[in-house]
Amino acid sequence: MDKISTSYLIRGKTIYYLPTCHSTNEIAHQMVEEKKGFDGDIVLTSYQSKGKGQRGQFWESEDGKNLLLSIILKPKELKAKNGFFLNTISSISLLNTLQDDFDMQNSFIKWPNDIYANNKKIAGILVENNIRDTYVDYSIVGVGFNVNQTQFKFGNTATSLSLVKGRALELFDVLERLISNFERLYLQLCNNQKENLKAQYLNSLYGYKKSIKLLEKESNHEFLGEITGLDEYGRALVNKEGETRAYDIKEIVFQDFQ
Amino acid sequence: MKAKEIKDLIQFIADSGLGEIDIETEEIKLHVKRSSTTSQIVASVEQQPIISSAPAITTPEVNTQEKVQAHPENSGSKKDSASLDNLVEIKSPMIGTFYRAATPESDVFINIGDEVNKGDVVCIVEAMKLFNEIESDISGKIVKVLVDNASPIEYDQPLFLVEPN
Repeated sequence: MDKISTSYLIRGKTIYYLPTCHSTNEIAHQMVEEKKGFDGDIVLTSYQSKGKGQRGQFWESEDGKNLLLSIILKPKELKAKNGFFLNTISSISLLNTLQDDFDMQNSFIKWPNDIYANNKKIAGILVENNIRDTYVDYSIVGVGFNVNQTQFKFGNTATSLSLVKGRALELFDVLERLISNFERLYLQLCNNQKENLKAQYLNSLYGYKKSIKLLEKESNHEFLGEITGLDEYGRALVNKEGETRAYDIKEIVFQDFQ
Repeated sequence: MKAKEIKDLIQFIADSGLGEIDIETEEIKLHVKRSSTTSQIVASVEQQPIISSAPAITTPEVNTQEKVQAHPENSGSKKDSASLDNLVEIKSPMIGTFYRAATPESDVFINIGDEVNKGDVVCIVEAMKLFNEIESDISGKIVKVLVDNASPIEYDQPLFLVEPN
């Protein structure tokens, strides 16, 4: 494992690089448990043999083409029920990288934490927390960011920075920008600027104050609704035919992304 | 045997002067013991728990040795400080979906009868695609799992019953 030191003050101070590994989230998790991983440390790899998506799903990534990393966080006094803010800062840091550093305005967050560019998925986030006495004891933020991969097995649903910009990019340069954005947002979270973060998140959220096609699973009813905000747990507040209801992730489907 | 019949039976026993009684039918084994100051009633149920007056500890799970405690509703002014007193709940710190294992393929974190130590992971709660390992805040023995795998849970909902060490 190579150890790279960076100029960052807190986040990403130390980057542990492994040419290949099974899953950066699992390595990061193990490092914390063995008291070798600290707040801001990053595990980076070029290839994951068992890249983790949501609950057992696989994250596809070609060797050496993309950013695959996990950030170890030890947030102070973050209540477990407010853990959604880890999704918030991760999503915004990717969006800022796309929009501010690479001028990709046609990008957005699909609630809760998928990142899209030109209506195709460009990055995914997998946050795994350890909860002790109702607080987040530590968090592992896993990021899969498509940078230089140009062909995808699942054809039309994925894209990359390179496909959008029409040129190959320097991976380490993209990484630095991402970490720099992440650091700024994590500090905002540590300083309890939750309302500010929520506003930034909503600002880039697909369907926020815009009419979109939704399916309510319980009733199997398709309707046009808009997201009006988030509740304290991160549930989407949706205006459905004049009434506002909070939806959990399993209760609603975005019909335009099927 | 219906819940109403059990309740009537318990009331009958409560009103009688009996100190301890065992009743066994095809459906149910009932053991009632009266202590000097409180009435402690423990029913050991063979099939589905059918005592509805203790919803916090009844689930559809079948466990022949499980102890289900019934609170007689009409016990009047008598304080019922029965056997639940020494059991402690592990509660959910968030809303979400309850999972007993890390992935669909892996073993459950903990089973009924297992010893749990403070800091051991007992389950995963998924909330808005955030996966949270929940550590136990007590040491003891798992007496009951109160929620089915993959069920939605509320904030502060009891997940496990633990007999502390």
